[in-house]
Amino acid sequence: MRVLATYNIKGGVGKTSAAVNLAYLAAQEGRRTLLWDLDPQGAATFLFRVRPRVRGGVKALIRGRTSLDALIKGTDFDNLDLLPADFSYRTMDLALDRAKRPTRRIAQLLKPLAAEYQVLILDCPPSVSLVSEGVLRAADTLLVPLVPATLSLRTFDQLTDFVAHARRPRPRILAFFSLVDSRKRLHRDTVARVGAERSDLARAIVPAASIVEQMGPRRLPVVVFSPKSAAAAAYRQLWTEVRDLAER
Amino acid sequence: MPPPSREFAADAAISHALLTAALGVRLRVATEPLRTVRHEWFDTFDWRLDRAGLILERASGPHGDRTHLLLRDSSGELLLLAPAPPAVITASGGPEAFLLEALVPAGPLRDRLAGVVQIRALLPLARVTAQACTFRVVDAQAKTLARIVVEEPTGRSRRSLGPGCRLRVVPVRGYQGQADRLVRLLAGLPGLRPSSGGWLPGALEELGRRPGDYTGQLQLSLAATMPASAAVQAIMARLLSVAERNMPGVLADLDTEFLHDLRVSVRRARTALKLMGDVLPAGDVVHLVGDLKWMGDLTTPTRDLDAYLLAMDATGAEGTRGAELKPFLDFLGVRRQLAQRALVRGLRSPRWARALQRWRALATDEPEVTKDGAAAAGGRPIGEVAPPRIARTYRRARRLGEAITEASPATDLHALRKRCKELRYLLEFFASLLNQRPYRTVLGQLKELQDCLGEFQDAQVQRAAVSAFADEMLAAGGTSAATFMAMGRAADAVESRQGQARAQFAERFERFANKRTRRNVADLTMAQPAPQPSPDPGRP
Repeated sequence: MRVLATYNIKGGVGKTSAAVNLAYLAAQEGRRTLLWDLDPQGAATFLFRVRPRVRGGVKALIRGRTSLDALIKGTDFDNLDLLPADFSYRTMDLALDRAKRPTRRIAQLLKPLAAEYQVLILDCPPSVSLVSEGVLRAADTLLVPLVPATLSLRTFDQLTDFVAHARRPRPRILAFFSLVDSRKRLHRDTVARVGAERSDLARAIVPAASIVEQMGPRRLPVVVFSPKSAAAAAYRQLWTEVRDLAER
Repeated sequence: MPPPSREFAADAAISHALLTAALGVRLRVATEPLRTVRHEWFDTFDWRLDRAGLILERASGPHGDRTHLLLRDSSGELLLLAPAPPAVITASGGPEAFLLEALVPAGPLRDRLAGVVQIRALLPLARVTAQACTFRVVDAQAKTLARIVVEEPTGRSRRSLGPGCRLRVVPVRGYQGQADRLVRLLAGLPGLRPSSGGWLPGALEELGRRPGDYTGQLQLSLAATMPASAAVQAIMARLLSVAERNMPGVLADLDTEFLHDLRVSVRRARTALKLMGDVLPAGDVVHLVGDLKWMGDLTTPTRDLDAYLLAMDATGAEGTRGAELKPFLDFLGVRRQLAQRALVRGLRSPRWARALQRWRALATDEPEVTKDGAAAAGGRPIGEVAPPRIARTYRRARRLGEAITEASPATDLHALRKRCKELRYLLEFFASLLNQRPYRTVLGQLKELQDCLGEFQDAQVQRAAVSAFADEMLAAGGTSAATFMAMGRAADAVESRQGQARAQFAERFERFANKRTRRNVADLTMAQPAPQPSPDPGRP
């Protein structure tokens, strides 16, 4: 099982959009795919029309009283299941803190799912916390959406540094530009400059497009309702790069 | 208690409006547009998927979207699903056989199938076309909680299967309660009855087929009191049937196993006549022995080339090495094409037809009374005739093996291998007459020894062949040094395998020839109070 995590310390950079579309694309290729919505806001859960509720809440989940398997919901798409968010996830840090070996706990919880799923995508909340550390230990690849702006790039450097100093096993990082507005010179220049400087950047560039925002009212991945859009093409390219990297 | 069936059948078409109305009383139901579904099921010629409890189907996915490959277990539960490639390359150029790699895209489904299907082609079993309508039970957020798929056969399928319909409840994970509720609702509707297996059983029956209707295994159930001549005739008849069933696959070149099974049948028949033929009229046997030798020889060039190509696959002709070896593989491919053409000519020749005719006559005709003593031997019960011959063949094999030393030439091991094959065939012919516990033990030891001898001899032949092919390619010109070097490395890999097999020989032979196995052989041939039929556990 390949574990991918969409992660960034900043919020609103396109983590959930990427997670939802990549999960759909992985499933469409015949891979049994599970998306775990770790964000208490439950955006991915909302997009798949699933009720954001986990029986017993986060405490029971982290303590192992509720098995992950029993919480999984089938989506409306072939091969794609969802582990929904729950508002109690806002206290996941506290629950992990009380667990033994808190940073290994998420990886332990995921282990039994490896027999059933080939791809697991973790949609992470925007923070640096015990949850993030747990995700770093569990994930093979960290997918980092990057808005082409100075502060965002600074945050990415912080993240890279954080991962480099995290305990092993450490995930590899694959960043990709997200919310790129090609009308803005700063965005164009940043994409060109940073793209030439860094080797951990995907070639796929996800545009800032209203069609991506349409995912909210339609409650569908953009690759489903607008497969010919530039955003859908970007997610397809991103999936190809992620898959090739994971299989390398 | 088994779970209630999620599938229902009706003898007549069901009104979608009535079904919606019946469900709609208690549930929120969304109806998808009508669509045409083409179901097509696949298995190998020898039903490997069926034997593994798997059903491979190409059809619309459970959600009614594009064409998918669906792998189900024998209860119809969906195990894996993958998108079907838009166009497939056939194994033979014809439309009726598919390589696994062509039919199933890379991914978990192909990985799951590869270990079961191995080198066999996937053949379509049956096709059904139906008109399908999906009813989705949804919640207030329009999230699907369960589905009912209603299918009615159309066109030719309707004419063969009749006008009825089938309803299948498809659960959504995490909402099992909704599916159970639907099952209860449907069970209460008039005109519906619980069903299972979908369209496949009916479609197969319509074609006059049933799962497992071919196996290369002997599956002979002989009675100890049967006259020896009748027992040998039954063996010859079964072998003829296997040979004839495989011939179309050999002619169409669907996969390499058709030829393999044909050759094994011919070889088994030769052994049966060599070791048991004296119970039949000598004249008939002599003619057929000649025929069988010719039949075996005819199939050898193609099989040898198959073996070389499969061995190259096994040594992993990939990447740079694969590119360097490609001219050699192409050379072998061309050779194989020529050999296959010659084989097809032979299989279609009057001589082949005459040989089959003689084989059939020997297997089915009443043996004529002759003066050569065959009538007397043939009239004895097989339970008396067969066991001493098994014991004798074992003793001969043991003596041959005991004479083999570190310095013995490869030909000595080959001679032992041939004797072991004869012993294996005899054991399998008369499995139903033998004591099962020692039978399984002896067969196990014998198989281990045969694997070792087979590996050694195959490597011996392949090394010599690579060398001979290299000479021919050199003489023809145009082959790069890199290709010759890659061939050399391939020959080295084969030599290494051969060395390993030779190193294993002493230990395996010791197990085959030791006191315990000898005792088991003696127990094999003890008179049994009530012989039990036994499945043939494999083939060499």
